[in-house]
Amino acid sequence: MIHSSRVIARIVELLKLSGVSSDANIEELTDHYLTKIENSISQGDSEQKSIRKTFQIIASTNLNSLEQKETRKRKWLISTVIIALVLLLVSQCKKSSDVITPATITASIEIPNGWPINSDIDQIYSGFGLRMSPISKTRKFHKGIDIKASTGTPVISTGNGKVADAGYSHSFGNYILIKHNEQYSTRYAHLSKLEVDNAQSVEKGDIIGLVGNSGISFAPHLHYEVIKNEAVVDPMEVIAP
Amino acid sequence: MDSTNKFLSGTLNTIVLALLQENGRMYGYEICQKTKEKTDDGILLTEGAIYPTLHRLEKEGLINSSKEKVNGRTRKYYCINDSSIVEIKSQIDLLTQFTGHLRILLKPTL
Repeated sequence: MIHSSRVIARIVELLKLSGVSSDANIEELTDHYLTKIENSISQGDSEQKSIRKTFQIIASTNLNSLEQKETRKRKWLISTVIIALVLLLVSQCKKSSDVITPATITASIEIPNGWPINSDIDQIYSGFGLRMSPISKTRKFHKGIDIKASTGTPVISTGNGKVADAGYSHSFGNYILIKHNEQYSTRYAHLSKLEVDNAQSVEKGDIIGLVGNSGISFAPHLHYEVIKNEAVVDPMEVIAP
Repeated sequence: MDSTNKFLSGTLNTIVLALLQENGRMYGYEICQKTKEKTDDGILLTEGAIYPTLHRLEKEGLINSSKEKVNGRTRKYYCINDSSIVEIKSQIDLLTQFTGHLRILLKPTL
Protein backbone atom coordinates (compact mmCIF):
# COMPACT_ATOMS: atom_id res chain seq x y z
CA MET A 1 0.00 0.00 0.00
CA ILE A 2 1.47 3.38 -0.99
CA HIS A 3 0.69 5.98 1.64
CA SER A 4 3.53 8.40 1.12
CA SER A 5 2.05 11.86 0.74
CA ARG A 6 5.16 12.83 -1.22
CA VAL A 7 4.40 10.24 -3.88
CA ILE A 8 0.79 11.39 -4.08
CA ALA A 9 1.81 15.05 -4.26
CA ARG A 10 4.25 14.26 -7.08
CA ILE A 11 1.59 12.34 -9.03
CA VAL A 12 -0.81 15.27 -8.74
CA GLU A 13 1.93 17.63 -9.89
CA LEU A 14 2.79 15.49 -12.92
CA LEU A 15 -0.89 15.14 -13.82
CA LYS A 16 -1.28 18.90 -13.80
CA LEU A 17 1.81 19.19 -16.01
CA SER A 18 0.22 16.70 -18.42
CA GLY A 19 -2.85 18.89 -18.76
CA VAL A 20 -5.24 17.34 -16.21
CA SER A 21 -6.96 20.10 -14.28
CA SER A 22 -10.31 19.00 -12.79
CA ASP A 23 -10.36 17.62 -9.24
CA ALA A 24 -12.49 14.62 -10.24
CA ASN A 25 -10.00 13.57 -12.93
CA ILE A 26 -7.02 14.10 -10.64
CA GLU A 27 -8.64 11.96 -7.91
CA GLU A 28 -9.47 9.15 -10.33
CA LEU A 29 -6.05 9.15 -12.04
CA THR A 30 -4.17 9.35 -8.74
CA ASP A 31 -5.91 6.12 -7.68
CA HIS A 32 -5.06 4.66 -11.13
CA TYR A 33 -1.34 5.35 -10.84
CA LEU A 34 -1.09 4.37 -7.16
CA THR A 35 -2.73 1.04 -8.07
CA LYS A 36 -0.22 0.71 -10.90
CA ILE A 37 2.69 1.24 -8.47
CA GLU A 38 1.23 -1.31 -6.02
CA ASN A 39 0.71 -3.79 -8.83
CA SER A 40 4.28 -3.34 -10.04
CA ILE A 41 5.60 -3.92 -6.50
CA SER A 42 3.48 -7.04 -6.08
CA GLN A 43 5.04 -8.36 -9.29
CA GLY A 44 8.51 -8.13 -7.76
CA ASP A 45 9.80 -4.65 -8.69
CA SER A 46 11.32 -2.56 -5.91
CA GLU A 47 9.19 0.25 -4.52
CA GLN A 48 11.57 2.90 -5.80
CA LYS A 49 11.70 1.43 -9.29
CA SER A 50 7.92 1.06 -9.45
CA ILE A 51 7.42 4.66 -8.42
CA ARG A 52 10.02 5.99 -10.87
CA LYS A 53 8.59 3.91 -13.73
CA THR A 54 5.08 5.19 -13.06
CA PHE A 55 6.26 8.82 -12.82
CA GLN A 56 7.90 8.43 -16.23
CA ILE A 57 4.68 7.01 -17.67
CA ILE A 58 2.65 9.96 -16.38
CA ALA A 59 5.17 12.47 -17.69
CA SER A 60 5.11 10.92 -21.16
CA THR A 61 1.38 10.12 -21.49
CA ASN A 62 -0.91 12.50 -23.33
CA LEU A 63 -3.79 13.17 -20.97
CA ASN A 64 -5.25 16.18 -22.76
CA SER A 65 -8.20 14.10 -23.94
CA LEU A 66 -9.53 14.04 -20.36
CA GLU A 67 -10.10 17.75 -20.34
CA GLN A 68 -11.01 18.01 -23.98
CA LYS A 69 -14.31 19.69 -23.45
CA GLU A 70 -12.74 22.50 -21.55
CA THR A 71 -9.90 22.75 -24.06
CA ARG A 72 -12.38 22.88 -26.90
CA LYS A 73 -14.18 25.72 -25.19
CA ARG A 74 -10.90 27.50 -24.63
CA LYS A 75 -9.81 26.93 -28.24
CA TRP A 76 -13.11 28.33 -29.43
CA LEU A 77 -12.57 31.39 -27.25
CA ILE A 78 -8.98 31.85 -28.47
CA SER A 79 -9.97 31.52 -32.13
CA THR A 80 -12.80 34.00 -31.63
CA VAL A 81 -10.40 36.49 -30.08
CA ILE A 82 -7.89 35.95 -32.91
CA ILE A 83 -10.55 36.43 -35.58
CA ALA A 84 -11.73 39.60 -33.86
CA LEU A 85 -8.14 40.87 -33.74
CA VAL A 86 -7.59 40.03 -37.40
CA LEU A 87 -10.75 41.90 -38.38
CA LEU A 88 -9.74 44.85 -36.27
CA LEU A 89 -6.24 44.93 -37.75
CA VAL A 90 -7.49 44.49 -41.31
CA SER A 91 -9.90 47.38 -40.89
CA GLN A 92 -7.12 49.52 -39.42
CA CYS A 93 -4.74 48.50 -42.21
CA LYS A 94 -7.23 49.59 -44.79
CA LYS A 95 -7.29 52.97 -43.17
CA SER A 96 -3.53 53.33 -43.02
CA SER A 97 -2.99 51.26 -46.20
CA ASP A 98 -0.32 49.16 -44.46
CA VAL A 99 -0.13 45.48 -45.20
CA ILE A 100 -0.30 43.06 -42.27
CA THR A 101 -1.07 39.42 -42.98
CA PRO A 102 -3.12 37.41 -40.46
CA ALA A 103 -0.20 34.99 -40.21
CA THR A 104 1.77 37.49 -38.18
CA ILE A 105 -0.66 37.40 -35.29
CA THR A 106 -1.42 33.70 -34.77
CA ALA A 107 -0.32 32.32 -31.42
CA SER A 108 2.38 29.65 -31.63
CA ILE A 109 3.87 27.11 -29.26
CA GLU A 110 7.35 27.99 -28.04
CA ILE A 111 9.97 25.58 -29.37
CA PRO A 112 12.97 24.71 -27.13
CA ASN A 113 15.48 25.85 -29.75
CA GLY A 114 18.52 26.76 -27.65
CA TRP A 115 21.93 25.04 -27.66
CA PRO A 116 22.13 22.74 -24.62
CA ILE A 117 25.71 23.40 -23.62
CA ASN A 118 27.71 26.42 -22.54
CA SER A 119 31.12 25.94 -24.10
CA ASP A 120 33.30 27.37 -26.86
CA ILE A 121 34.25 24.00 -28.25
CA ASP A 122 31.07 22.13 -29.09
CA GLN A 123 31.60 19.10 -31.20
CA ILE A 124 28.87 16.65 -32.12
CA TYR A 125 30.28 13.20 -32.34
CA SER A 126 27.12 11.24 -32.84
CA GLY A 127 24.05 12.47 -34.66
CA PHE A 128 20.40 11.52 -34.59
CA GLY A 129 19.15 8.38 -36.33
CA LEU A 130 20.53 4.91 -37.14
CA ARG A 131 24.15 4.42 -36.12
CA MET A 132 26.59 1.76 -35.06
CA SER A 133 26.24 1.57 -31.28
CA PRO A 134 29.66 2.13 -29.65
CA ILE A 135 28.64 -0.20 -26.81
CA SER A 136 26.85 -3.14 -28.46
CA LYS A 137 28.52 -2.77 -31.91
CA THR A 138 25.15 -3.25 -33.62
CA ARG A 139 23.04 -0.85 -35.69
CA LYS A 140 20.73 1.00 -33.31
CA PHE A 141 18.51 4.03 -33.54
CA HIS A 142 20.13 6.94 -31.71
CA LYS A 143 17.39 9.00 -30.11
CA GLY A 144 19.36 12.20 -29.69
CA ILE A 145 22.70 13.84 -30.37
CA ASP A 146 25.94 13.41 -28.43
CA ILE A 147 27.94 16.58 -27.85
CA LYS A 148 31.57 16.22 -26.82
CA ALA A 149 32.51 18.34 -23.83
CA SER A 150 34.71 18.06 -20.78
CA THR A 151 33.35 17.07 -17.37
CA GLY A 152 31.95 20.07 -15.53
CA THR A 153 30.87 22.02 -18.62
CA PRO A 154 27.53 23.72 -17.78
CA VAL A 155 24.43 22.15 -19.38
CA ILE A 156 21.68 24.66 -20.04
CA SER A 157 17.94 24.43 -20.58
CA THR A 158 17.08 24.99 -24.25
CA GLY A 159 13.72 26.57 -23.43
CA ASN A 160 11.42 27.70 -20.62
CA GLY A 161 9.71 24.86 -18.76
CA LYS A 162 9.47 22.69 -15.69
CA VAL A 163 11.61 19.72 -14.57
CA ALA A 164 9.39 16.67 -15.15
CA ASP A 165 11.99 14.16 -13.99
CA ALA A 166 15.49 14.42 -12.57
CA GLY A 167 17.33 11.38 -11.32
CA TYR A 168 19.58 8.46 -12.12
CA SER A 169 19.09 5.52 -14.46
CA HIS A 170 21.41 2.69 -15.43
CA SER A 171 21.72 3.78 -19.05
CA PHE A 172 21.23 7.57 -18.88
CA GLY A 173 23.22 8.03 -15.69
CA ASN A 174 22.25 11.33 -14.05
CA TYR A 175 19.58 12.80 -16.30
CA ILE A 176 17.03 15.61 -16.47
CA LEU A 177 13.74 15.67 -18.38
CA ILE A 178 12.22 19.11 -18.92
CA LYS A 179 8.65 19.57 -20.06
CA HIS A 180 8.42 22.84 -21.99
CA ASN A 181 4.79 22.78 -23.05
CA GLU A 182 2.06 20.42 -24.27
CA GLN A 183 4.18 19.47 -27.28
CA TYR A 184 7.85 19.62 -26.36
CA SER A 185 10.12 17.99 -23.78
CA THR A 186 13.93 17.74 -23.75
CA ARG A 187 16.28 15.26 -22.05
CA TYR A 188 19.88 15.76 -20.91
CA ALA A 189 21.87 12.64 -19.93
CA HIS A 190 25.20 11.33 -18.53
CA LEU A 191 25.58 14.38 -16.28
CA SER A 192 28.12 14.56 -13.46
CA LYS A 193 25.88 16.78 -11.38
CA LEU A 194 22.21 17.83 -11.34
CA GLU A 195 21.61 21.48 -10.46
CA VAL A 196 17.79 21.32 -10.45
CA ASP A 197 15.11 19.38 -8.58
CA ASN A 198 11.92 17.71 -9.72
CA ALA A 199 9.11 20.16 -10.53
CA GLN A 200 11.44 23.17 -10.49
CA SER A 201 10.67 25.85 -13.07
CA VAL A 202 13.52 26.69 -15.43
CA GLU A 203 14.07 29.39 -17.98
CA LYS A 204 15.81 29.18 -21.30
CA GLY A 205 19.55 29.52 -20.66
CA ASP A 206 19.45 28.40 -17.00
CA ILE A 207 22.25 26.06 -15.90
CA ILE A 208 20.55 22.76 -14.99
CA GLY A 209 23.55 20.46 -14.54
CA LEU A 210 27.15 19.66 -15.48
CA VAL A 211 28.50 17.43 -18.25
CA GLY A 212 29.78 14.04 -17.09
CA ASN A 213 30.35 10.41 -17.89
CA SER A 214 27.64 8.71 -15.78
CA GLY A 215 25.50 5.77 -16.98
CA ILE A 216 26.46 3.89 -20.14
CA SER A 217 28.99 6.33 -21.56
CA PHE A 218 32.54 6.01 -22.91
CA ALA A 219 33.80 9.54 -22.47
CA PRO A 220 32.46 12.78 -21.00
CA HIS A 221 29.68 14.04 -23.28
CA LEU A 222 26.12 15.33 -23.25
CA HIS A 223 23.36 13.19 -24.73
CA TYR A 224 20.57 15.59 -25.75
CA GLU A 225 17.07 14.56 -26.88
CA VAL A 226 14.10 16.55 -28.11
CA ILE A 227 10.71 14.91 -27.71
CA LYS A 228 7.78 16.31 -29.68
CA ASN A 229 4.33 14.84 -29.11
CA GLU A 230 5.84 11.80 -27.33
CA ALA A 231 8.22 10.97 -30.20
CA VAL A 232 11.90 11.84 -30.47
CA VAL A 233 12.84 14.26 -33.25
CA ASP A 234 16.23 15.32 -34.62
CA PRO A 235 17.47 18.08 -32.26
CA MET A 236 19.42 19.68 -35.11
CA GLU A 237 16.10 20.37 -36.89
CA VAL A 238 14.85 22.17 -33.79
CA ILE A 239 17.89 24.11 -32.60
CA ALA A 240 17.91 27.67 -33.91
CA PRO A 241 20.78 28.31 -36.34
CA MET B 1 0.23 0.39 -31.00
CA ASP B 2 -0.85 3.19 -33.34
CA SER B 3 -2.53 0.84 -35.76
CA THR B 4 -4.42 -0.88 -32.92
CA ASN B 5 -5.60 2.52 -31.73
CA LYS B 6 -7.01 3.23 -35.15
CA PHE B 7 -9.29 0.21 -34.85
CA LEU B 8 -10.14 0.93 -31.22
CA SER B 9 -11.63 4.34 -31.82
CA GLY B 10 -14.99 3.01 -33.02
CA THR B 11 -15.17 -0.02 -30.75
CA LEU B 12 -13.86 1.03 -27.34
CA ASN B 13 -17.33 2.02 -26.05
CA THR B 14 -18.70 -1.43 -26.77
CA ILE B 15 -15.61 -3.21 -25.42
CA VAL B 16 -15.98 -1.36 -22.12
CA LEU B 17 -19.70 -2.13 -21.95
CA ALA B 18 -19.03 -5.82 -22.60
CA LEU B 19 -16.36 -5.98 -19.89
CA LEU B 20 -18.65 -4.29 -17.36
CA GLN B 21 -21.50 -6.60 -18.28
CA GLU B 22 -19.29 -9.63 -17.74
CA ASN B 23 -17.49 -8.51 -14.57
CA GLY B 24 -20.06 -6.34 -12.82
CA ARG B 25 -18.40 -3.47 -10.98
CA MET B 26 -14.97 -2.35 -12.24
CA TYR B 27 -12.60 0.64 -11.90
CA GLY B 28 -10.55 2.20 -14.68
CA TYR B 29 -7.22 0.54 -13.93
CA GLU B 30 -8.95 -2.83 -13.61
CA ILE B 31 -10.48 -2.43 -17.08
CA CYS B 32 -7.05 -1.66 -18.57
CA GLN B 33 -5.48 -4.68 -16.83
CA LYS B 34 -8.32 -7.04 -17.76
CA THR B 35 -8.09 -5.99 -21.42
CA LYS B 36 -4.31 -6.44 -21.37
CA GLU B 37 -4.54 -9.91 -19.80
CA LYS B 38 -7.38 -11.16 -21.96
CA THR B 39 -5.71 -10.10 -25.21
CA ASP B 40 -2.23 -11.22 -24.16
CA ASP B 41 -0.90 -7.62 -24.35
CA GLY B 42 -2.53 -7.25 -27.79
CA ILE B 43 -4.71 -4.34 -26.76
CA LEU B 44 -3.21 -1.83 -24.31
CA LEU B 45 -5.67 0.84 -23.23
CA THR B 46 -4.14 4.14 -22.20
CA GLU B 47 -5.49 6.39 -19.47
CA GLY B 48 -6.07 9.03 -22.13
CA ALA B 49 -8.46 6.64 -23.89
CA ILE B 50 -10.24 4.74 -21.13
CA TYR B 51 -11.29 7.58 -18.82
CA PRO B 52 -12.85 9.86 -21.46
CA THR B 53 -14.78 6.79 -22.69
CA LEU B 54 -16.03 5.91 -19.19
CA HIS B 55 -17.04 9.53 -18.57
CA ARG B 56 -18.87 9.73 -21.88
CA LEU B 57 -20.77 6.46 -21.27
CA GLU B 58 -21.76 7.71 -17.83
CA LYS B 59 -23.00 10.98 -19.26
CA GLU B 60 -25.04 9.08 -21.84
CA GLY B 61 -26.63 7.12 -18.99
CA LEU B 62 -25.41 3.71 -20.13
CA ILE B 63 -23.28 3.19 -17.01
CA ASN B 64 -23.34 4.40 -13.40
CA SER B 65 -20.49 5.23 -11.08
CA SER B 66 -19.99 5.05 -7.34
CA LYS B 67 -17.10 5.99 -5.08
CA GLU B 68 -15.54 3.93 -2.34
CA LYS B 69 -12.58 4.27 0.04
CA VAL B 70 -9.85 1.75 -0.83
CA ASN B 71 -6.39 1.74 0.80
CA GLY B 72 -7.17 5.14 2.27
CA ARG B 73 -8.03 6.82 -1.03
CA THR B 74 -11.11 7.26 -3.16
CA ARG B 75 -11.74 4.80 -5.97
CA LYS B 76 -14.40 5.32 -8.63
CA TYR B 77 -16.22 2.17 -9.72
CA TYR B 78 -18.36 1.82 -12.82
CA CYS B 79 -21.23 -0.59 -13.54
CA ILE B 80 -23.87 -1.12 -16.19
CA ASN B 81 -27.04 0.93 -15.80
CA ASP B 82 -29.72 -1.78 -15.63
CA SER B 83 -32.32 0.38 -17.37
CA SER B 84 -30.04 0.55 -20.44
CA ILE B 85 -29.35 -3.17 -20.61
CA VAL B 86 -31.36 -3.70 -23.81
CA GLU B 87 -29.45 -0.99 -25.64
CA ILE B 88 -26.12 -2.29 -24.34
CA LYS B 89 -26.90 -5.86 -25.41
CA SER B 90 -27.84 -4.70 -28.89
CA GLN B 91 -24.60 -2.67 -29.18
CA ILE B 92 -22.56 -5.73 -28.21
CA ASP B 93 -24.52 -7.93 -30.64
CA LEU B 94 -23.99 -5.46 -33.47
CA LEU B 95 -20.23 -5.35 -32.92
CA THR B 96 -20.01 -9.14 -32.63
CA GLN B 97 -21.88 -9.43 -35.94
CA PHE B 98 -19.62 -6.83 -37.50
CA THR B 99 -16.42 -8.61 -36.42
CA GLY B 100 -17.86 -11.81 -37.94
CA HIS B 101 -18.35 -9.98 -41.23
CA LEU B 102 -14.85 -8.53 -41.00
CA ARG B 103 -13.40 -11.99 -40.57
CA ILE B 104 -15.19 -13.20 -43.70
CA LEU B 105 -13.93 -10.24 -45.72
CA LEU B 106 -10.36 -10.51 -44.48
CA LYS B 107 -10.12 -14.26 -45.04
CA PRO B 108 -12.06 -14.75 -48.30
CA THR B 109 -10.89 -18.35 -48.73
CA LEU B 110 -12.95 -19.60 -45.79
